[in-house]
Amino acid sequence: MWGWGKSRKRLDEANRELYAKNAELAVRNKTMALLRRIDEAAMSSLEVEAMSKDIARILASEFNYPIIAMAVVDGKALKWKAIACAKARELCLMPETARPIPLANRKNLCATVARSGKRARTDSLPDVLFPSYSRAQVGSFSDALGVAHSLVLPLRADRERVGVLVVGLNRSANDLSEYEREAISGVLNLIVIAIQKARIHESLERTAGKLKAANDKLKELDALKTEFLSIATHQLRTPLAITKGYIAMLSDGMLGTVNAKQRGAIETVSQSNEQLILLVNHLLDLTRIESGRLAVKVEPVDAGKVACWVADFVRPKAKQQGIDLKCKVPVGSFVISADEEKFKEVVMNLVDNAVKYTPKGSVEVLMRKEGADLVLAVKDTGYGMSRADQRHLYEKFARGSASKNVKTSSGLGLYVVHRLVTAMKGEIAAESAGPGKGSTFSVRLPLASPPSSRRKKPAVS
Amino acid sequence: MPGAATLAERIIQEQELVIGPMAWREAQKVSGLKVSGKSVSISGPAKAALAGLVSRYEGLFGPASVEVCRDAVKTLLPDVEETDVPEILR
Repeated sequence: MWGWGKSRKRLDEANRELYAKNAELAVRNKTMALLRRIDEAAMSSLEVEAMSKDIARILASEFNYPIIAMAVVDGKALKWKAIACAKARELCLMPETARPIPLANRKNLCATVARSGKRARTDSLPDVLFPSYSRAQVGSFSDALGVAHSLVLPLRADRERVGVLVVGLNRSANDLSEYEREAISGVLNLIVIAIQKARIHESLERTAGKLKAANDKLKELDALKTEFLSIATHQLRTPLAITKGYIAMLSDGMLGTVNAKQRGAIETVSQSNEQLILLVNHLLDLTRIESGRLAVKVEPVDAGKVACWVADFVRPKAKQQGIDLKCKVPVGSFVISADEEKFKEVVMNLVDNAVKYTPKGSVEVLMRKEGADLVLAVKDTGYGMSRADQRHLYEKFARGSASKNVKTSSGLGLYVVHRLVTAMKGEIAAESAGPGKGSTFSVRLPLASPPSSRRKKPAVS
Repeated sequence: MPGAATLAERIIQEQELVIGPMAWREAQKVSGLKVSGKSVSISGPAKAALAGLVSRYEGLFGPASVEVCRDAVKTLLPDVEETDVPEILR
């Protein structure tokens, strides 16, 4: 009998021990499940207010708390973000209408807890909610909900004050269950992380808003600049054209005999005037491109004729520099689909550039057919380009390393050329074996379809 | 306002988390409690039925089970008629 009694006692002890362990585990499981719900609520919202309200509602309903409130540090004050009640959700005070509590307030318990980082308790709800709400308001609220005690818990990340969590209890603050104690201590860190995440998001949104506003302002300024440039360049063109005419008249001796010394001066004025005209033309192109007013009129264009006309136009300048400029293109052989004026401008820029950047040697204008395209190549024996230069060729005001050798360059020529070629559904490419080894600029544009191919093909049976 | 049956239900649910479905089977053996599926009703004095339920678990699992019962109803007690609550749960 004694043996059976002992065994029974041991069995009971083991049973009770097992129960105690299971009870502990049950609390852990419940805590984990609650934390998971809170985590989901925190992750589902990116705004501090919405997230705080969700968390407060979960805690209030889980523990039947008369009140759960959350205030967040905002500058030098605490601002209520959520006040939830288990019993009367509609009775809850509206945090939006609450006055912020200055952190320096010595009488409010929330401010004290936020400052000290130490939890506190009180049996007077006005200690917690006054001056955010009037004493009378808080008193009737407290009676209606049956708040007996309030716990004020700090929300902190390292040393940073994040806010406070207020737990309004319908019993003594000493009478918390194991589950409540575990859950509350776990929840505090989770809330801090969630608030910080939401704050980062809000701050990013604010920054993005500011950036957008700045960007809109910049666009507005850019449009104004384009408009100004357009007006200014149009105003410049007329006097420049008049100046050019008078220079030609002076140069041709129509206004009297010109001696050698005067001719030199006229030549210098003429070159400067040409440079100004080029710059103004480029600026006009730029304003048209940037304001979206670049209109392309596609028609069949004799590319060879245009190329050789350009070569003939630039040849005197090339000759003056001792450069052999050749146009090896048979007129009438290549008809492309392009805007004639814009194609002429492209070739003019490329040939003029090639002459400008070639101190000695030659410049050749070549053409070949590649599939349904024409490839126009302007090849020179000039300064050439480094790889770094090639990367920025078509940018606005790009100045390659060879530009130090050139007196006149707007930095806009290739930008304009690139945009014009693209507008005509073409492509441009540049090649150079390196500095001092010359360059080749190739423009690819679609050939015009021969009239025969435009006709409807007969049906094949 | 929750009644004594709510307290009994909460206690059994909490015990179920620790000992499993056995919590409901043991509750069926308590006089004054009527367990039907997972809902509970009380016939007779509520205080005695609740005290019987707590004692049932205590007899099987010792004082730790009483703590579990107390914790289970802590948040509800302030809203329940005091006359329905046995001393062991206070």
